[in-house]
Amino acid sequence: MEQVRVGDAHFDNPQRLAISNTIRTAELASRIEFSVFVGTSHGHPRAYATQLHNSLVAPARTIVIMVDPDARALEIVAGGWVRDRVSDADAQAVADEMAGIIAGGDLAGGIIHGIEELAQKARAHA
Amino acid sequence: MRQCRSRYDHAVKQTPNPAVRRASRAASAAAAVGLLATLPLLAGPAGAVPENWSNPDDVDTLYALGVLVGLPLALFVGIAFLVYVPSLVRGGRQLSSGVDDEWFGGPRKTRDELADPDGDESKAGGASARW
Repeated sequence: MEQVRVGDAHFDNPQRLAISNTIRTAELASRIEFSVFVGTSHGHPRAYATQLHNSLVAPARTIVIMVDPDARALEIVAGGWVRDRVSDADAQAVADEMAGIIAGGDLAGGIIHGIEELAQKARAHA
Repeated sequence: MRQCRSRYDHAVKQTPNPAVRRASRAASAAAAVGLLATLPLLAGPAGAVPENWSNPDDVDTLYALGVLVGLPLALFVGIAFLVYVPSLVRGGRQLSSGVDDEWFGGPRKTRDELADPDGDESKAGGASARW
């Protein structure tokens, strides 16, 4: 499996900037808060992702995307308000697409694609 | 006056007579030697302390080393301790600033400060994937 890290960090600065810009654009378009965590999940990935989600200011209106490259785990956690706009089936479809891109070695590209797709699906249901 | 062969003769003042120059040098040397000879007299007996000056005891070598080396070293160690210990007590790096973990749009919280995971009554949903 190809290692997706860049040096000691997961991203270089242009990739960080691209992810931040994508989040900003998606939030403006969908009115959903996006939060992306890339790192080590402690314990079960799903439980850790919900811990991250519950630590945010407005979990109900937030989507957390958690990627653990070492565990090869991807979790999307959507709050109650968000689920009226992005169904779990939609989230699963996006998660599968993201996992395919990340498995190909493009971590930043997979994340950006996922954010854009989730925002687009939210707009479609708004 | 003899002719000067220098390009800058207009700026150089020539002594008219070499004998006068030699006498001037000898007088200067004698004055310098005389001044040096009088310095010990001005200083007084070796080791003597002038009147009205304090005459403290000799400083112990270990004490001097302690003040000049030990004290700055202790200050350095103390400041380093105060800087690094709080972060060590908190349990290491923060989630959003570590090399390995990056959290876009997340709060600056340590792992121990995270909220509890969802329970059965949670209204959150989402999806999972592995590769």
